[in-house]
Amino acid sequence: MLDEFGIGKAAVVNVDSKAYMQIYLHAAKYPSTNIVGFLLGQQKPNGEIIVEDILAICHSYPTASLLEIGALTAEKIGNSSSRKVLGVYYANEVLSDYQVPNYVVQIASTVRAYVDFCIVCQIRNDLLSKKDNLFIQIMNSNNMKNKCKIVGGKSLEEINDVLDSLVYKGIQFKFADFEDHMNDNGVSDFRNPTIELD
Amino acid sequence: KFSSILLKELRKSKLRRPDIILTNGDKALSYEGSSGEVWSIFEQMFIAAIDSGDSTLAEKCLSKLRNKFPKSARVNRLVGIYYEFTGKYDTAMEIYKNLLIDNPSNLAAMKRKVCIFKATGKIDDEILELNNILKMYPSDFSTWLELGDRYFSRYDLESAAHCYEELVLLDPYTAHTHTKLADTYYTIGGATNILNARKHFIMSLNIQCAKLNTRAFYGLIMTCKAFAGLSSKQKISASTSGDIAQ
Repeated sequence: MLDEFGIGKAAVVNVDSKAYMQIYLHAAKYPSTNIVGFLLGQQKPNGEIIVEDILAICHSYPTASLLEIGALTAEKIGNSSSRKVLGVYYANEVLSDYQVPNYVVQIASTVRAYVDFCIVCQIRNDLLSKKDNLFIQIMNSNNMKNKCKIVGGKSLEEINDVLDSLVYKGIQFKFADFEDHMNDNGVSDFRNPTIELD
Repeated sequence: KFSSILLKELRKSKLRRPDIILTNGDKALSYEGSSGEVWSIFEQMFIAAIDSGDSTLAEKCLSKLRNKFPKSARVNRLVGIYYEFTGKYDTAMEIYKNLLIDNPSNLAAMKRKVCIFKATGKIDDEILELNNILKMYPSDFSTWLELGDRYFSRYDLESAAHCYEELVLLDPYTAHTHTKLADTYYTIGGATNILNARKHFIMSLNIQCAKLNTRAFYGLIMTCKAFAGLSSKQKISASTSGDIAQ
């Protein structure tokens, strides 16, 4: 039975560890504002969904121009690596706000027009510092969640160790989203090629 | 001496760099000794400690300030900030309300009330308080900006556009304010708003060239593309609308 975002309540979403870590860095760079980004990946012939990459879009409430250019860029990046825009991730501004905001619902409906479903990945602000749980959850409607698994060969403990060392070195301040790229006139590279996640 | 000068420059330019302040704070304090500057440095270090989550240092700085200035409204505001930091929003709110009873035009206390509403997710109260501030201080730039952002967060775009229009009136020579207004018009959509957006992106680019103003540059391209995609009837209707520059 399909849900609000078309993903199917039983579907398990696999998230590559590198995509997971990039989402963390985006959230760590902007801890006090909302953030939005696109999820890029593939749906295998057997229906398995894998999120392999992300494109961090902005750290404010997204405007139409930023979303349009961001979406075009995400599509182009995806096409160059045989991936599609599969969904959107977001974090709310207020720690205790677990709602799916209206703008995310609107983005999801646009993504659904192209992919039949949209993965809506919410960052749980309260779980960002916890080590024994994933800090993301896949929403299939405002209150219901899908199962999410991290893939890519690393255990959650290993991923947390890498994230700790990155934050200790201040690498999150080097992470750039598309809004950073627009605001500093193209100096920051939103693909973040210099950030090593091993 | 260098640390003291550095912290002074940060105070003057109102830059928020807790990392620099915490690294140089102790050196600046030992240089200044017993001069009057130390209290400004304590205040600066308190805010930096709050930003970094260092409650021990924050308490230490605050107690020094409270001992020296027990009845100061400025120090009481810092006490309120400390209670906010520890999550005791009700206590902090009481402090700010008392400050406003003593001085109803205390802008800093009013803004702290807004911060509490923002932190506790009470957007309606936040908007009400921001409007109250604007009744008393109608040309306060940061309040109009915050109010515009709040309306934008609820996607009440027309109200957000009104706030950003006020920003443009207050500061017409900053590219950023024109870009923000233009982005809002473009997000609202419709032929007239696309033209309005284009106008303000152009104003932004007039103030700051495209090489240094990527956002306005891309915005101009998007608005021109969107306008080109409209029907002839929509274009004519938008172009002859009273408030659009030809």
